[in-house]
Amino acid sequence: MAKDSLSALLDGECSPGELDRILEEMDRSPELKASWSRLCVSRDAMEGVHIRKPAIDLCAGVMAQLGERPVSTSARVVQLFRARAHARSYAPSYWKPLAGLAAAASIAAVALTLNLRQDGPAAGSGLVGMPQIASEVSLPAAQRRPRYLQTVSVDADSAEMARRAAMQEELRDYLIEHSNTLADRGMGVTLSYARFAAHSVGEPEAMTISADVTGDQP
Amino acid sequence: MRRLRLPIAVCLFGAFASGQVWAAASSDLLVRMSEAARSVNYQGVIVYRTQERLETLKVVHGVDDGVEMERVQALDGAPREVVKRDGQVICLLPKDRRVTVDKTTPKGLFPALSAERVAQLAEVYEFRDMGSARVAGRSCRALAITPKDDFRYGYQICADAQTDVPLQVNLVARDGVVLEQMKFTEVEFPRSIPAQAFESNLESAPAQQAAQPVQAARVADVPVAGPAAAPAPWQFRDLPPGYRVTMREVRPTADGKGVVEHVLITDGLSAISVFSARREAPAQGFQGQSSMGAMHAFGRLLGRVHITVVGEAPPQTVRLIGESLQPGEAAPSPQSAVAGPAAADGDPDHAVTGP
Repeated sequence: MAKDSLSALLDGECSPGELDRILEEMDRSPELKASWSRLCVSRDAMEGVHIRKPAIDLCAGVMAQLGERPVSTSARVVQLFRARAHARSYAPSYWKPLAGLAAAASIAAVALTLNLRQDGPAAGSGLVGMPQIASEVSLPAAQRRPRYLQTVSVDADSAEMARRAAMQEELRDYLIEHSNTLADRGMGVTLSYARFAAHSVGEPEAMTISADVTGDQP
Repeated sequence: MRRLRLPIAVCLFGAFASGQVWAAASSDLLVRMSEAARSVNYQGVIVYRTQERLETLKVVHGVDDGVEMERVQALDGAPREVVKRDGQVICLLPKDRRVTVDKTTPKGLFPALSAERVAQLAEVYEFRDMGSARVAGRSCRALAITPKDDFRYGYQICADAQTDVPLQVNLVARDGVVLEQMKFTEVEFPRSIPAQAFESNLESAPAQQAAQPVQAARVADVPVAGPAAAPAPWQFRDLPPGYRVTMREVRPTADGKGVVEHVLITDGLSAISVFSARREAPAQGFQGQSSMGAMHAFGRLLGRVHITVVGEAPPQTVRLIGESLQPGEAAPSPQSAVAGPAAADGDPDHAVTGP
């Protein structure tokens, strides 16, 4: 049963209640923690043979957090804030949340942009000698957080959440519309549709606002 | 020494000629593959891989009276589907959500590949025949399309030897690293596919309209910066080499409170969409950079207009295009853009190239 839960965790299909239970069980059971590690390794082996991976492994990051988690800490939010502090050391400055959207800070704190390395090409750094393409195969910024942790948040007000959900929906619609235009390209539309279907797990999600946007603001 | 000149010349000519033949064979394969991807019935199971995802999907593609139909169905995890039929793209998402894009793709955005068109592509891509391969138990011919600069991604394609349908497509960075892969694990090519195969079991979900074009413009109307450019809604200060505008259309936003202009920019293979949404209320859209697989997005606010750039291209290219967009003298308003017939025109001869 516990292993089924781990599979669900790996697939990002845990409910908040299940997530609570699994995290507590992992704290108590080294065997369960080891099983989780093996699952992570198996997944990575399946995915990482030829396709470029981020330098910082997601599972390793999660395990590190689990290992660091104070036994007495009951509020996972505290742990997530700690984890975010780790992430800051990896994140380039352009992933900073935009000024004026500080209301999203609590979400951003939970949004585990944290564990995942965001070492993508420095936006605006020009094209010469750039591509650090490791981050080019990545999820939308908000999806960088492990899906099984995204439910842990959220103390933001509902209006902000609604605004972000609307933002997410608009971006998704644009992606669909753009994918549709690729149908006529010559390699078929299958790749575009497959990409969309594959990345639609867990919708809807709020979009993490990131990057400093340069340019004129008339 | 003079004696050697002729053999050397013959050798050089032979090498040149064989290179030309090789390139011609590669471009010919690309042309045939392009046609097959649109016109052949096929169904099977594909694996979609990125560094973070491994998804198995069922694919059905058919053509009925010249109209393409497609159904892509996730086999694992939460049920998800994308169905294209009857001029609609229906996306069935987790939690019983359904999004409908009620528009057909204007023809000619990626015009049929001819020798001339491939020659244009050869300015920014290099074609290489990779020989034989085997995918899903079938013999294939493999083709590598490598970008000559960092403004676009490349492709490695294995096309079925009998039908020319692409059975494997790798999206690759310029250094050859695979970023994304779609690969059939089993495939068949039935003579006909029943219409029921394109009907989803999940279609009971309430529909949400995503996009419906109202007014489309000829590509000749799309402006570029410069003294000769006519006053128009938006101008691109700069476009990466090889990219050109092939479509512009205007439609209401999904919430009906504004208008959005969709401009498609392509080099013939890579494509980038620029959406400029203008609403009566202050815009609050996505800003910054994001990605979905190898599809990248960039958002910014330009006054009251929210710009979103989406494309299967490196993030720097997407951002460059987003930042090069400048307001013209007559940006579309909600009042001015909700009338007029749809008349998408993707005639490549009218394409406007950026400076």
